[in-house]
Amino acid sequence: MSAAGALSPGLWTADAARLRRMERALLELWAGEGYAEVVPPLLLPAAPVRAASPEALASRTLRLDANGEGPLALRADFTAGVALMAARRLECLDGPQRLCYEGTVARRPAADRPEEIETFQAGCERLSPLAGPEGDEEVALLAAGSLAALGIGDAVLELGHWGLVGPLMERLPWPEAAREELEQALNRKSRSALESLVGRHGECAEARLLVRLLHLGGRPEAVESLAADLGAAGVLGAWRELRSLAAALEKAFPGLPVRLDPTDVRHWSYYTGLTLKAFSRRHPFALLSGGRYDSLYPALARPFGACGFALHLDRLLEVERGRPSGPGTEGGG
Amino acid sequence: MPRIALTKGRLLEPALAWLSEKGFTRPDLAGRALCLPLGRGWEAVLLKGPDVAVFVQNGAADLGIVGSDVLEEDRPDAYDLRDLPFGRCRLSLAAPVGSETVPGQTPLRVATKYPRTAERLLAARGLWVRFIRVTSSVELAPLLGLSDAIVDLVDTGGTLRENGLREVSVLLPVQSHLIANRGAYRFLEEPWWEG
Repeated sequence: MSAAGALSPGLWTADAARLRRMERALLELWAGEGYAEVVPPLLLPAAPVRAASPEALASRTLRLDANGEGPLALRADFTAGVALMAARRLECLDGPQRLCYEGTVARRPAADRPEEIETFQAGCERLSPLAGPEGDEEVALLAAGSLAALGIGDAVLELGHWGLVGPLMERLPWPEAAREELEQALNRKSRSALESLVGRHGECAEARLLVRLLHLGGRPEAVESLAADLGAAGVLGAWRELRSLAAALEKAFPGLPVRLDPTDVRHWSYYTGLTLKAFSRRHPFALLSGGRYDSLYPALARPFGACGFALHLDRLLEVERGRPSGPGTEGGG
Repeated sequence: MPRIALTKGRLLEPALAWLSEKGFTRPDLAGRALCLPLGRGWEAVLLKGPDVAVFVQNGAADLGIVGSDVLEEDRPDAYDLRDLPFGRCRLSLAAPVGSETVPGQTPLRVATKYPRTAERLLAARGLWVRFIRVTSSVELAPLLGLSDAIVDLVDTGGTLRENGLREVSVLLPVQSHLIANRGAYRFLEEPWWEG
């Protein structure tokens, strides 16, 4: 699709009103939870944005040459912009920072996938002086609260954890060249692709466990049978974190189904712990995505941990309109 | 109502037979309707293979049955839930009987419906190739001088033989797969497709 074909048609009055209503509801909720709004810049220096973005997103970042200012990047998500702001601020040295944002992002359309360049996002970032899971529960509860504030009554919240799958991937005694194919097989839930990799590169305990985790997709208690194998693989800690989070979510939001799916991670090299996604029956793609990305700030020379999520407001608008499914890809990040 | 997209043509009959084994009703194919009740609260839509992937990726269908040739070529952003026990064939390089398939001084001109897959697989074998994308009757391309060879699906090899072509190399085994929309997958009540 040509870039012109992917240009946003904009929002006329009714949709503009819907968007503003959603943004107000979210910002009000988040302010009440201590999250202060920031307005990250639309144009950013390209090099640090690349350092602060997952590879798949970096490849979709639109670049400009600003006449002697060096290569610039148009905002493709808010996390990189927030990170570049926070990395320069002294108050971020002490205690967690709770930040939120809303606005437009622009992404190069994926090859052969017709989708709009401009989309709307709103989200939260919780920065900590140290890396680690502290704050995950707060962010997960806030994500669930955000869905409730928008009235997405049929939402499902899905949790994953890099610590369940990442260590298994890293311990596989397979050649490095198999890594990309492995990530794609996991991301597509393709048992046949995973088994083909096993056939070519060798079976082992880690590979067997990955195959079993592939279609876990169930309620937390439904996968207790895996606990012994996860313990033997040394990843039980991440599993317990997820169980604890799921229990906290079910207690606070009893009407919100929580699923576990540790293998469906779009940006394997980006997330370092919890991953979050939310879906509705009324839309074919994730309405919310996020997680923990503790390697982000160290890439910008600050030792912070970070966890957050973004709501895809254009998709939520489609849900509100009752007309889901403009063409697209899940994207996220 | 949940919807499954089925590939028209050679995959349709075995797909319907497999769905019958899973407790679905065989729809009446006598009319021209493209949207058919399947029972169990599901309906089927009949599409060309590449469109099955598009419909599933974008949520117009929850599930789809499509050949792995389409998945390799189009790489739809969808889940690949399982391979299915039908639609087995192969993607092969074929050339006219008696022809020199790898000329030294010019790129091999290859007509195919699968330029991305063919490029990936032939590049891995070190062939210097120029692709010509065609969408039907690929076997005609070398006969009429449009190409030196073709990359296409081969089942029994009968069509190749009838058109004076020989199978030079098998590039990829192909079979049917069940794919799912990423969002819809979360809401499918039971994994009836397993087993």
